[in-house]
Amino acid sequence: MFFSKKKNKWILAAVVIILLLVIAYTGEKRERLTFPEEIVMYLVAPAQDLFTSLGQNIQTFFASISQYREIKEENERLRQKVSRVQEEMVDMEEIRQENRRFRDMLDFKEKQEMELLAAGVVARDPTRWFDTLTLNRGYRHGVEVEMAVITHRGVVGMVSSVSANSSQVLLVTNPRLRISAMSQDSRDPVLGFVEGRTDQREHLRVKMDHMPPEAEIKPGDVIVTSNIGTIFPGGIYVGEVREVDVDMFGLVKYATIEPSVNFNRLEEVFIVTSPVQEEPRQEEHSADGEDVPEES
Amino acid sequence: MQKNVLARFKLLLIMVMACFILLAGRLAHLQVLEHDHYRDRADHNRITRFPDPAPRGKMYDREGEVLVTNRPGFVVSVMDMGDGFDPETVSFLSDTLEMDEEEIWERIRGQSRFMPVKLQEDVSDEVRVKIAEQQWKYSGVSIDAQYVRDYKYRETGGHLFGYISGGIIENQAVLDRWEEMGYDYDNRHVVGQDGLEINWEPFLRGKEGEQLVEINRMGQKVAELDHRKPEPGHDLHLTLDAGLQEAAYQALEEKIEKLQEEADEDEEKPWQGSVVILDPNSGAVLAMVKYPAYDPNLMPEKYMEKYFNAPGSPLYFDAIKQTYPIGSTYKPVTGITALEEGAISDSTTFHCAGAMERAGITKRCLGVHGHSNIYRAMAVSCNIFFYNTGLEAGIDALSHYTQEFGLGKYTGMNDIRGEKRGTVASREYKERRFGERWYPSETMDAAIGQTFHEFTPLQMAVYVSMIANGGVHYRPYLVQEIIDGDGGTVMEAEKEVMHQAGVSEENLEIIQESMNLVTEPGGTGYYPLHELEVEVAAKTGTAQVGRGITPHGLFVSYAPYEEPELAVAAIIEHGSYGSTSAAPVVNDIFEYYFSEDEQNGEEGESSEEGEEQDD
Repeated sequence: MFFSKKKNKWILAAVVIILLLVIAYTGEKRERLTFPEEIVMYLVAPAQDLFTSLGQNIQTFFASISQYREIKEENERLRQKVSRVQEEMVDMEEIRQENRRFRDMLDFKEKQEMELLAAGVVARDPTRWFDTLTLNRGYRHGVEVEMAVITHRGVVGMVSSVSANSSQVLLVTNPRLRISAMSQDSRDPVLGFVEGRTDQREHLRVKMDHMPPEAEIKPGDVIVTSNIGTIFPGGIYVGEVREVDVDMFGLVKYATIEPSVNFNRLEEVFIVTSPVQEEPRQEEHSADGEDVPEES
Repeated sequence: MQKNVLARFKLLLIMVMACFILLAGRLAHLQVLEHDHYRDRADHNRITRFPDPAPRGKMYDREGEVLVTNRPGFVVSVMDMGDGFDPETVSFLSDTLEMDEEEIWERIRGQSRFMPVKLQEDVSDEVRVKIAEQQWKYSGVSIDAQYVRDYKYRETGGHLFGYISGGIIENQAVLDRWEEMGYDYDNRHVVGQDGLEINWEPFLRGKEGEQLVEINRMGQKVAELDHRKPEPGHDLHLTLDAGLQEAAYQALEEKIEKLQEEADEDEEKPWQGSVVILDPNSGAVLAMVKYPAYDPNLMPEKYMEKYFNAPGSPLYFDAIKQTYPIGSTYKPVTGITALEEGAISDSTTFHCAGAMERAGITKRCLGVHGHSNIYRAMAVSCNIFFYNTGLEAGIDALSHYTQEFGLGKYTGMNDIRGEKRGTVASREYKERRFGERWYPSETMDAAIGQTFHEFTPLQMAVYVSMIANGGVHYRPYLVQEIIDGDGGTVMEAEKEVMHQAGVSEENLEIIQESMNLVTEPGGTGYYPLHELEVEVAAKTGTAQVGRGITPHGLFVSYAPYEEPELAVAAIIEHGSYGSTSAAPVVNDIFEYYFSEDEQNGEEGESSEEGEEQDD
């Protein structure tokens, strides 16, 4: 070897000292580089650049490793916040909708001449979804069998049994319940009977049957409860005619009706507690229910 | 420790096995021991057969106007849902239908399960609403639409259409005919009971269908498993002119009501009358009326209460089933007989001084007519002329020509049954009936339509048709066409010549002309018809029915005289003179029929004028 181990030490120390001195000298406040410096710079700069950038990258890398935990924690915090906000928004929307429903109902209730008792749907058997439901009002609240159940949108059903704090309702979509109804649009209203469909395929449609063949009824006509029934007050919205057809070689006409009440979503309803009036009602409540503004 | 776990596991295993054994045991119990019971219940609970009735055929008039149709009615039924009938259900039905509970029990007792038992038909809207609203509580109660016969013209066509009911048919001739037609009569069915309804029952009925349905525990149809569709009954297209039928009925009604008001206390009041209108060119029945008639919509419910004992026997169709003395409306027969026999010519005259004596008897006339030939004698209805003419021709010739003109013979009307044959005055008849010989004085009575001559209004209409059309006896018919449910023609009627009267055209023309003079000034039919624009040939008749009893008023006629469209026979029982009772009725009918044509023409013209003005 040209350098012994001992000698090397010394040489290295000397070079370092020289370089430090050069740095100290050249590092003083100077505006310009000396010519030799420029030459050296010119020769060394590319390599220096390379090393600098390399070094910086390496530094950044290690720095981010050290910050990772911190960022993760922050991310978690933010996520939680977002979901909380979302939940609040959902809650608010629900409250908003509930508010609207209540407002519609209140509005509806105020316009009625009949006495209405507000009730909430507390149970609904999924296997008999379109047959019955249970309300949280019973005989303690004055509910009786055969009272009509409605919403501001129209007919829901009829109370079929009552206990102290709850009552069972037969829905219009149940084939067991038949209510007398008539078309609001024809000049000469014809009597027909609305019942749930027994074929189970189209729960959300009901059938209005037993109309005379000359009955003036067409798709789009509005069907309301008749004013000769003893359970439902007259003029309550039942639904809208979708199809009209004849049966028994043209002997009777029947119509498929789309109920105005959404039976998939029923939360609050009214029980009509006042006795059904003998006189036909002048006001068309159904129309009022329909015209309630969606939201301010 | 390990031992303990193993013991627990064994215990659990035993418990689970015990549960399974229990379940298996119950399963065996249900499936084996009570198999039949549950099998029976399950099957009946689910599936049953409902009859699906066929709509009865409709009836239309010649213009396609609906005369008889089906309207929806609603029938309340109750059905044994497998556990017998609930007294509460019966009590509810009793209240709602206003029926005795006992009556309901009587109807439903012993009825098979899952078969609806009809309790009340054609219920009111109020009952429909009550049943519908309460139905949810009472299983097995149902309310269904059913075909209810709707007779649009009510009593106007009562006897023609007939009615339907569940009564048992006892008429063997009807049953035989049905059998011949291959009609399977079931006495539990509602069938035609009169008129066209009974006669065309096999065509009108249709074929009942059947539904195999699944029902829920409330007795409601849940699904249709099989359906044999009913076949609707065939429709009858009639020759009838509904407007004319109505006009005839109204004219009769008005006239008879007026005559009743005018009648003296002690007089026989006119209660009823008949009008038959034929198309003389075919025999088609355009109108056939008996007043009073029953309203088929009320039958058979009001049969006893409203009609059975009512004056004028509304249940009986006298237009074809009653025979009447024909009176002076017979005189055209006497005239043609004498002309055909060469006993007189159209210039032969007889002198009427108000009475005459011949064949050892004195006969009177209603007037003093002086010398008359056949034209004048017909116009003024001089009895003296026809007494003499009849004697000249003789009773044998008279009875021969009577039948030549369809009188005293079945007309051949098959579309509704029960026409009477009537009687022709003849030596044979008197011999057969009374065992006595014929007197010439009776010939004189026969020559003016009295003695044993008795004919139905339908025969009189055929007779006047034959005078109008040159002596052709067409079979009177009412059903023009029968159409099946798919619109196919099952039967189409064509005019059918039954007989051609053996008389000369010239002689018939003399009679036609003489009958035309009846409605000319001086004729007995002039006044009642003088406002008509149409030319009418006619003959009045006043038929004596006994001393002190108001005679029947008759009028036979056809119009227009040159090209006859209508041949009419009208009679009002105890209506007195034909010219004041039956003739005004026919006047109203002609006025309706011929002014209807004119009006249509005028309307057309006036609308054209309107258009011109606009231009």
